[in-house]
Amino acid sequence: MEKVLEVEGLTKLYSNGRGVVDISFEVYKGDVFGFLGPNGAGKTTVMKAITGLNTFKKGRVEILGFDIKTQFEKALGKVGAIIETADAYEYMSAYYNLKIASRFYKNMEKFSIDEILDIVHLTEFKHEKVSKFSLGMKQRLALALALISKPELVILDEPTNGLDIEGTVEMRNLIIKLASEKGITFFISSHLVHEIELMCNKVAIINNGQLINSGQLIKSIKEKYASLEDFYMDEVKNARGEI
Amino acid sequence: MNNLKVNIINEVQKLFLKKKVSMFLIITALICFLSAFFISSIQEKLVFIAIDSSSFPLMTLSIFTNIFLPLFIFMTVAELFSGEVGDKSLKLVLIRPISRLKIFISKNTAIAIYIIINLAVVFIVSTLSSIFLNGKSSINIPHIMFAYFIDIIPAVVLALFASVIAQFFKSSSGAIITCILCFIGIKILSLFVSGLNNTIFTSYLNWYSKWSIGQNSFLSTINILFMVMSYGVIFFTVSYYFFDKKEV
Repeated sequence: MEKVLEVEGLTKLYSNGRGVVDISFEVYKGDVFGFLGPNGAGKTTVMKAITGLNTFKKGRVEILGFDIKTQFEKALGKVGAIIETADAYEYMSAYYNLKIASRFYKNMEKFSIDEILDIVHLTEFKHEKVSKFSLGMKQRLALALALISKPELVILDEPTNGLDIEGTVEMRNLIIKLASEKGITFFISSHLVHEIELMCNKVAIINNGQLINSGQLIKSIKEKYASLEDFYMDEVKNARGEI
Repeated sequence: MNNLKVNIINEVQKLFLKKKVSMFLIITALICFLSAFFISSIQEKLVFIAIDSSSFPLMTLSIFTNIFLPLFIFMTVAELFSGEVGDKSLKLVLIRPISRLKIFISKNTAIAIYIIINLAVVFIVSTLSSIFLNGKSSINIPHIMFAYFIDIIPAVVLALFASVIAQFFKSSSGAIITCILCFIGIKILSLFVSGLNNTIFTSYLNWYSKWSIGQNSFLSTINILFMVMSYGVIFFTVSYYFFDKKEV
């Protein structure tokens, strides 16, 4: 299977001593890869390093075979991402936000923007300013901004964070639909074990800046454990040396 | 190269989609027109000062480049650098397939375009209102155009200076205030420190006024040009260093 994302020995330490140490995992084409861990475990740090928002001295990140440090533009050519928060230019309309982002990619036509707005159910609000959007709408617009590159890999950092039940279900269904219908590979971080269980086919667990499980099939986990939650608790206890 | 062009278009568009940026241009045009109107209405009473059609656009240029333009530059630079870090929208471009160097160049190019548009507005409004209100046709347009044109260079260097300061702030207001204080500080220092006035870039914001005094041999002009551009290169390098290291 084609490797879409490869992280090897990634180490990023902040001045306060926190960060992530020796993170290694691989994401293959068609995967919906869950990156599970509690708040402050280092999920966002890893995602920022993958997308070039953070620098790191040790380790290697390759996206679609391109090194993030030496071939940045090629590496991010077919990647869409939402990191930390669902951001957009608040003083612009949803349509303008997408138009500005679409210019970075070749062969992006007007209908592509309309098509993406339709996928995230924002067509009727496309000329409204983002500042007037609800959190759920902003989250869907951020997903649209991630999809504008016609990506092979979409990186989502806590995509359902702050959403109400309806918004969470809608976002989850969108991700599942895009993965199955468009064949997009997803790398999704979350601290909610239930979310990962419902969306992903593989899971890696990060705790306290260290990877304690580097990508197991959820299907095979469920053969041994009653739920992903039980598996997660076992792995964390194991890492702490409590078992 | 293509992504650089794309991001220049994006940055310019982002600037002009902000209401306050367009408002500044309208206010500039209004100030120019109203001052021309005011001067022409009291001109008969001004026995000692003769302001003709040609000198009004140059006088406006002098006031604009020393007071209003620096303010507008500080606001624009703070908006494009610190402001975007503050509202977290800088991430939107950093996760696109474009290098940080290209992003930095395109942001500064957008600011340079904004400066040119500002100066063009002042030039057009002050020249037209001067012709319209004074009714003189003896105005030397190429001469005035040249004065406005050469003042673009020091203004761009001032923008690069502001972009160095903006790298250390996460809110546009903090960056603007610091830029203004630094600018005033340099101006005050140059009054007290002998020789500083000739070597500091802020003294050449209205380069044309120094040019027209008459001491402008070709060599001294080239000397000033290189000195101002050296400031520009230093500010560009320092500012890019911090922009490249920025973690958002």
